[in-house]
Amino acid sequence: MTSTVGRQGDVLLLVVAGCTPGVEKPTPPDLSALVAAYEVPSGTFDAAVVDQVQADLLDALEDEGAVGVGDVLDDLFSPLEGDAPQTSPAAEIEVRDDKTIRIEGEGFLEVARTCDGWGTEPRPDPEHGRLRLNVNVTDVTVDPVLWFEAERCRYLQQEDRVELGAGRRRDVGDVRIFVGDKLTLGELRRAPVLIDVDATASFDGGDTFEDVTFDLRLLPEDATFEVRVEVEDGHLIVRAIDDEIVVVRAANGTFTCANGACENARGDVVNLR
Amino acid sequence: MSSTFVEAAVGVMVVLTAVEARADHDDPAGPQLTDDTAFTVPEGDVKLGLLTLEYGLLDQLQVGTIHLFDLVLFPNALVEWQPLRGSWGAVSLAGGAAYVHTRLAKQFFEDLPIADLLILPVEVLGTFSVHPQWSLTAGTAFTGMFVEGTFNDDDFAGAAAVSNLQLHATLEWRISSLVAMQLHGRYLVFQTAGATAEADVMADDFTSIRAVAVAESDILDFPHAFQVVPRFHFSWRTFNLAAGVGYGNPVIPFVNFVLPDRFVLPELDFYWRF
Repeated sequence: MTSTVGRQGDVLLLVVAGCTPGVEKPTPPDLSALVAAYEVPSGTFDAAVVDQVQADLLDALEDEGAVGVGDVLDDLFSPLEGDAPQTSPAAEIEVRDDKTIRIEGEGFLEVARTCDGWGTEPRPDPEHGRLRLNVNVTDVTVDPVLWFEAERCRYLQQEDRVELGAGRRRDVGDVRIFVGDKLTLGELRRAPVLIDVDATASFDGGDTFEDVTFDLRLLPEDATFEVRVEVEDGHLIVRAIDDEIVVVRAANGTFTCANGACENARGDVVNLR
Repeated sequence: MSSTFVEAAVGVMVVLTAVEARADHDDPAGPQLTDDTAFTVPEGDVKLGLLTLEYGLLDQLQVGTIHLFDLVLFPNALVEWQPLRGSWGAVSLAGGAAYVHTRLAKQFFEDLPIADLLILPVEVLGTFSVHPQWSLTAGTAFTGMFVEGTFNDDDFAGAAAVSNLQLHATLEWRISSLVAMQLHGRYLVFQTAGATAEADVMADDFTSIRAVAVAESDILDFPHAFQVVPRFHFSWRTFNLAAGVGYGNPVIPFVNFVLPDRFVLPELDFYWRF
């Protein structure tokens, strides 16, 4: 409204400036450095780092497989999808009992999901802990960074009993997610997401919580993911389908991999085996 | 139209013109029309009308209320202060305030949401005597309306603000001591809405969602909304009658909310002044 009054006459600016109610959105975590790292790799991909790349890829798969962050996100994003996920504006969520929440403007969502538990059938029991997802909204799109906190969340991951808890770094969020710009709520489940995990987890119902810290980028549409691999002169971004490397992005080019060999546009070849 | 009706109407008009008028439209020193002008009710005078009750607290200060709103549990107050007055005309500042908490009205209208409404209109007017029988009033009116409440059994709560700015002008021709004619026009400069809403819902058995948002919208802004209403004003010893037919966008009194469609606007108002 302030800008509207400004167009009509500055004399009324002070009078109307406070008329529109305001909302203070939660402050998101800062993922700018991680986003930049995934955009621009700095290391050199050559034969000397192949073993390290493959080892780090397997470690990332193991980390992600252990806690199943991708599946957790799917559970969190599903209720936000709404009835027409491809066409609905940012925050039009149809929930049960015919209620619809629609946000166009400045706002935020706090999504609290009770975890499934360790039983054979998922059951909404407060004893199972919960996840709290924060989504900020501007105009009709979701803000680039989302995050969620894990509060002793119990669930089965490939039949293993997992309990996900808060990370020890005390930053905002235990799992931080970068979704990019111009995304609506209905597009979250299928959008590429960059995930930064700083949580703790216990496995097999144990009392000992281990640090679970990793980052990766999920690309659901291609069923691929990317991981960041630190090498001597920087870092590489490796895209894979399961444990098979398909693309390596490096400072010395983007290598497309097939049949055990990776080649960049200049014709440089790096054999994986 | 039957001849009987016409004859009766003419007869009434003849009788009315013969009665002494209080307004004395053609007397610059006499009581002036106060609606849509910068003039106020003189000290000690009471003006009781279809909508409003006004009292001249001082010669240059009047207070009042829209008594119909008071009756439906919508307490409100009006005040108009005239800091400048002379043979050239007058300048006044007018304002009002109305507050309602719908919990009281909910006893009669069960589906009404629980809400607090606050309405604050302010207005600046200037009336200028361009001729002994002619005067011109120009004014600007800003109205802020704020709503805060809960809806749907506390699942949804929010606050909203609707504001508008209007310009208006009135040309007055004092034809005789009994009759004056006013040509009144209004123009909507802007009308905008802003709202903060909060909703708490269960999306499914596992998931609750709390949504908080604020939004501004020009959905209530109707470009070039206006109204023009010519009316005749008849003043007798205590009774005053104003009637006319105009055209344009209706404006809800006091809240000054402009409606989107244009209509023929019949106007009828009467009040006693004593």
